[in-house]
Amino acid sequence: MARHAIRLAWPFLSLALLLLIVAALGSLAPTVIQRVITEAFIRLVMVIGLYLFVGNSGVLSFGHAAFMMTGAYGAAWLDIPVKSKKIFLKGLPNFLGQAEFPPWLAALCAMGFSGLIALIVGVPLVRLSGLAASIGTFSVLVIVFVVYSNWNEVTNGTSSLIGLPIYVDLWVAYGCAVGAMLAAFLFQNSRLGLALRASREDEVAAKAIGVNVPFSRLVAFVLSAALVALGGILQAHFLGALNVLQFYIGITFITIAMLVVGGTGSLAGAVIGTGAISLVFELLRQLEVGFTVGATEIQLPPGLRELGVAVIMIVILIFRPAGLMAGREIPLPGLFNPSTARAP
Amino acid sequence: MTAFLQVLADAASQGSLYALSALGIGLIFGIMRLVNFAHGEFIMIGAYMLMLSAAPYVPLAILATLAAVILLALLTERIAFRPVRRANPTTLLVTSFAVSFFLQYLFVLIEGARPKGFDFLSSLAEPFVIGEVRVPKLNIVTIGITLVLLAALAFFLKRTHFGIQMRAAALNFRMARLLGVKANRIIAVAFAMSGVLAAVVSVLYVAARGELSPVMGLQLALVGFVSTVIGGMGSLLGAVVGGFLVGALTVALQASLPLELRPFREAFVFAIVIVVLLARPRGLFRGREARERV
Amino acid sequence: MLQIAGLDVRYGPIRALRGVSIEVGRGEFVGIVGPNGAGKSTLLLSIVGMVRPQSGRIEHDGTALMGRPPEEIVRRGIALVPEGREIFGELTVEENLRLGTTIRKDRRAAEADVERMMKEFPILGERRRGQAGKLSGGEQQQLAIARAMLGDPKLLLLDEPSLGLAPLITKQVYQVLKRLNEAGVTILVVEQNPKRIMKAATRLYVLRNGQLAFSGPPEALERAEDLDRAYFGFNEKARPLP
Repeated sequence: MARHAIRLAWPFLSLALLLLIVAALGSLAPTVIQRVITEAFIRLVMVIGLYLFVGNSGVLSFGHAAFMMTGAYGAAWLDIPVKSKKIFLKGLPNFLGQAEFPPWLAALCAMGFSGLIALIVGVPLVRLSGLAASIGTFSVLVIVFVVYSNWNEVTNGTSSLIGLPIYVDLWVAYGCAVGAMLAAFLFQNSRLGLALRASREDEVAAKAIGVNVPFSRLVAFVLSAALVALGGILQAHFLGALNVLQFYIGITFITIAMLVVGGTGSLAGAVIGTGAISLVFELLRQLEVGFTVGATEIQLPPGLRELGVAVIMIVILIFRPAGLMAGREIPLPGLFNPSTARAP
Repeated sequence: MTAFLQVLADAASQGSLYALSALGIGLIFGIMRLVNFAHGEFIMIGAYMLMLSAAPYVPLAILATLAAVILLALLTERIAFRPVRRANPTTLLVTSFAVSFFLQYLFVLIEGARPKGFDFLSSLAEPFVIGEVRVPKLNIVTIGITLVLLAALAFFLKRTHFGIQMRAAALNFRMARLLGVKANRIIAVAFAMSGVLAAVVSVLYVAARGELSPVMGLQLALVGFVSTVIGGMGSLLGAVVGGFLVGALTVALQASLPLELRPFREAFVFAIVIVVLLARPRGLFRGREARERV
Repeated sequence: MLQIAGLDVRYGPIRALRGVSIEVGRGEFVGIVGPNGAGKSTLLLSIVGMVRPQSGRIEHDGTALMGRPPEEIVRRGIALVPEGREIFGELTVEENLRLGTTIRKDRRAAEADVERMMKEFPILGERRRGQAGKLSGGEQQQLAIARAMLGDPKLLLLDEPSLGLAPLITKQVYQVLKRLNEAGVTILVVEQNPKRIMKAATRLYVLRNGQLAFSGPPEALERAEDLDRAYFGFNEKARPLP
């Protein structure tokens, strides 16, 4: 019985375990490395959120960074100290301007707020497929970016917003990443998730057997927006500062690259892709910062990280278009696998 | 009346640049269903090429820019897009997104991320006065070059055998190949042509703004998408009309929106894109099915 | 002229053709009939290089065709009129015809041939500036054949030329094919409906479930039960292949 449960939940358990090992090793490492791992976990929350929609629906969204934005700023409106709000956010309505929520409540409210926005823009957008959907979601990104960049009274415009409570550390990020994976895992095995995956393979056939494609897409879109918003919230409360440029083309590219490199078809793909790109990103960052070989100091110019990620992504698209995991989850070890466990 | 004419003149020159950008994107989309995000980087690299070669003799610099961007367009096609040609349009879009990032950060690496000032043909900024309407000479040059290029493109597509092959390939690539149309050559020529269009935009844009940076292409690529969507994906005429329309819309919004809403101009433009995608997925002007598969 | 041996084509798990061998001699008029899904179109598309077979051999005048791109194969003088005609509906009739001359090197003669073709098919001449998509089905079929002929092929492949056409129009189309054949063009036609092709062809193949079920002169299938047997495989002891 226990074996059966483990086997069913294995795709999730294996990844949670993998991350636990990474987190545990990380907690023993120097602070610098801990921060790197924490950042990777935060990215993972974003990528899992993106995966929940893209992986299940097969529709590529270019707009999810918009929900990181609404999430991060939404949480900031609630949990920045009132003193700071009076300086940076003069335009906040009174009930927000006077409020100082505990961070976890602020985060939940901001996730709900992002989900609500996703619901509003999602109702029309989920009717689109293929390229039109990609361009439509991209348009949402541009609109949100333009609004937040210029609505100075509540976002401090293109200047940074500072003074956010910093509460995100390695274990908070780990917990959120596992939570996001659990949400995505439960969704993809739910009736709605399975129906949506059917529509990914063949939209017409799915409709023919009675799948309400727009509705299941909409549910996925809203859930995924809330998760991605959590990613934005975590990043803001990890750095303690917030800027609109954090949530535009750059993060859109990085998260899509992580998902595409790992493979959009499975949860493991999202995790492995995030891990692989984070690793490469960090190595290249070291090169940009500079290192010494013997007596000579070598320092490579900035821009190398993005360049490296772009190259990896193009190579993957050309030679392994289904991504590193090619839609598979992590295989079950023999102990729990009835077909091999019974073997003498 | 004067104010209206002034807005019209501004809209025409703004629209010209947009139409050329949109045409470069629309041309490639029509042939191979690739939304080429990297088109903005073609324009950006053209601008850097112009700056690097401008010193001795301007016409030579313009030729060098043209040659460099054409070569760049052909190279990206050969290296990045040809291997994924048979993939679905979304994969093609992701690939072009990656190529765009690659090129952008290549120039961050080489030239740094900061914008650079570059004084190019600034004498063209002098206005040309017709009655009370003042139009910078550059705008007239821009409109003139655009019209000439559009006429040349129309002639090529309508009257030459290769142009007919290209239109046939855009309509039905499989059948065109069955008649002996060479797929690689058609796509290469389409990329070369988009390179020419991008290089022309580089020159006109730099002359107008006097500044360049590795991220300058993004704005123009975005406008190019918007225009092709509004005009109808896959229709070249639609891309041109869409470009002029977006130019006119931008200038009109700038002139008519209350001051505090002006910064949000682009949000309105993209909201219109969503409305068009939903209400008229084939574009505002034409009824042709935007087929997703070649 | 055309030798195909042991051709295997798979689409994923589906085996569209299994060990198909056929031969077409110079000047012949060969028909391939078979029910829907028998693999007829796949066979033609393999010949012109639009479908990549898993194994087997396709030779044209002793040269192996497999692995070559379609634009190279058509330059060897093989033209395909595909199922559904696939004319360029938004281009004019004349532009469609001129596209047929894409592979010609003798540009001037090709231009003259376009004019000649519009005299030979008067309806195409009348509508030369009109959109090809506005032609009727029969007219589009004429356009598709004329377009294919402008490439000066020695071997003409046709995929269901009678599909969707009225019997009278089908008859006209076959008269055109007969004329071309008499002028020296080798013809290979695929049809689901065997009636017309049995009269026109000099030799016939029946394809069923991706395998050859019969090959021989059409007279051998004149008795209706023979045809049924070959076509649907009612009889377990189907006529052995020669």
